[in-house]
Amino acid sequence: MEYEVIVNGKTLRVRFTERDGQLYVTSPRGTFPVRVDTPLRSKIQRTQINGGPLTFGHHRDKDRTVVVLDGAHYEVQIREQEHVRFTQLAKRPGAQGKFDVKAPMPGMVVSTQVKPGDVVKKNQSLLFLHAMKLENDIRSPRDGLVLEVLVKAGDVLEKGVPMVRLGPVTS
Amino acid sequence: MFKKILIANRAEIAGRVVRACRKLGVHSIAVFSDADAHLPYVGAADESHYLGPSPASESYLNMRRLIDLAQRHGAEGIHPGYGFLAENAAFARMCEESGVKFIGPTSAAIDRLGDKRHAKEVATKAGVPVTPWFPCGPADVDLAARKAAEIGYPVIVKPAAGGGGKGMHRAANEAELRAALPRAGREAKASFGDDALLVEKFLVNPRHIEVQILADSHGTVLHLFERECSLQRRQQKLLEETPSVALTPPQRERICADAVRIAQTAGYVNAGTCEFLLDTQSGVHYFCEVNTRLQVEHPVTEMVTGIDIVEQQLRVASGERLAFKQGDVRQTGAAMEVRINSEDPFADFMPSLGYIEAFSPPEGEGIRVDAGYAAGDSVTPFYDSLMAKLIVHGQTRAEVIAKQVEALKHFMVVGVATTIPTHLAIMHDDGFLKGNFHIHYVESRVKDWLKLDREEDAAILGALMEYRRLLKTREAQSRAGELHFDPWSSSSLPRVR
Repeated sequence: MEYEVIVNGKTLRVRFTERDGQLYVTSPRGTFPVRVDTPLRSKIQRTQINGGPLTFGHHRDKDRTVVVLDGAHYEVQIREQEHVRFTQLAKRPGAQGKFDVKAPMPGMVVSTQVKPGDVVKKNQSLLFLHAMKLENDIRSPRDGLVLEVLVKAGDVLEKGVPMVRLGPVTS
Repeated sequence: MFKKILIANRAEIAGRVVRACRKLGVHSIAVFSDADAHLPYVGAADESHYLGPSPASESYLNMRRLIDLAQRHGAEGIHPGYGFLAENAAFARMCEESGVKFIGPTSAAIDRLGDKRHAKEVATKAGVPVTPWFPCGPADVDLAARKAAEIGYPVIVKPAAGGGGKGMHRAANEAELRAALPRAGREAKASFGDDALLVEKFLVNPRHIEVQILADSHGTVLHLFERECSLQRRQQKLLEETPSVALTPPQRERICADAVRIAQTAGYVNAGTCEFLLDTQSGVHYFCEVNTRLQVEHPVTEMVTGIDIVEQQLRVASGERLAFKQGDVRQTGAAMEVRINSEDPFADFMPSLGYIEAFSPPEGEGIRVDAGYAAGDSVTPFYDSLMAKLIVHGQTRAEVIAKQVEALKHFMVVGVATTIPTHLAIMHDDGFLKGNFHIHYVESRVKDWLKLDREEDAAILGALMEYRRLLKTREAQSRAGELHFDPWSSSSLPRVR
């Protein structure tokens, strides 16, 4: 079985084969024996890759899989190889298109720092969001033109709510 | 000793106070907001009561309601923990007036010391050097600009009340100062209910060293040595250790003696902490403030001295004398605490909220975990991001660091991002290992530390779990109809709640 795995924007191919009752994994760095041990507890898994023990966290819900290694959360998208070709045509958000900056957490808008028509640079402050007792500086993930500011001071937002709509900078 | 006390706090520190109560045979009452109804501390206490809606202003900051609950349920004392009302003189005074013992200093001492402006005056009276500063309000921008020019930039804006780094902003020039004052004022108001500020000269790359104080109501003031808290990010401590590698034995003696003198001058009773900035070039320490409460990082002191600080708080508050002398207090070995916060270090430490799928802290000799959450709880946006504290004790600093690495690798939290990767990176940092760091060290190094360099392993493991799921599905399909126990599947296990 072969999978295409996207992690942090990188695409990797991972293949599993069984020989003489032993499972092997092939990834860009080579082919190694792999073993899955009994889970330590729910969502905490123990494995051995090439004889080296590895404990990791694992959680899967309907549209995402999370692997926790050395305390870091890796969000991985996994597709079986035969599915890949059908979804390859699916569009990716183009660097030239519109882009919504979404609330990274629930919170209350303290103030907005930009208005429609502003040209913003990557990492420029867009607005302040009050959450967990701190004012969080929400910065632009890219260069762009502010098309719309969809929130105002005092708005209480759920996570994922679009806050600022950016478009390409027209020269 | 008290028969019954109420704990006016939540999460890990409420759990910590419950444990001290249990040790002393004191009946503990937990209080909880809507968001916290299922957290472990609520079940750990002997009794628990609903406090109010989730926003802190309607629950953990609701003074009248807390005192009513204490009186109605027969609590003789209130332990405020840290944060919330712990340094609120008005609350301490309300407790005093209602005949419920505030387990901490007197309201008068909080007034004198909890307010950073007055605290500096006390220190000066005690003959301890302080950094240049002036008080100001969030709207006094012109006054602040004039005075800041006199003491020289950079400066730091702090709320006069409270602590914990909230509402603190650094300004390198007048424009930044003008921008920082209203923001600091709003944050101070939201966190502490008071928007009075102070502006202080900002020392370049000092170390943050604090001294734990214990004082009884019979005139005895002792110190429990220092804690090194220089590793901070945005004025929030990340890691604390003791002893500090920056102090020579004579320096340690001086800084601890200064802390005791400040507490004596202020007539301080109960546990408190004197914070200092150590100028590493000159070796001079400047007094910053007194935290008139239990500190988040108190466990490192407990590990090296063997003294249970919360137990002592309860004893002192009930009128007992401290049962030991300064000469009995010794630092044995080294201890280090790391704060496991629900923040994503790979997304500029944004708060990470939501359901905790798995939570499995490490265990072992010399390893202590004070946790506020467990698997199945949710991290909500209403309070601070501290999930748990991992404290390690060992013979030497090097041994402690080696143990921290193993403990951190086995601290499994799934579902909510945490600061564990930051701590693992710190444990491998050369400057940290050599003890060469200061209060801005984390900010200068953090970008180099944080690398998601195990993408391939993550991809393999993710795919492996997917593959195993596929095999199980196929197996289940081929055995359709058979009754079959599958130990892999959690759904075939009995659910115990």
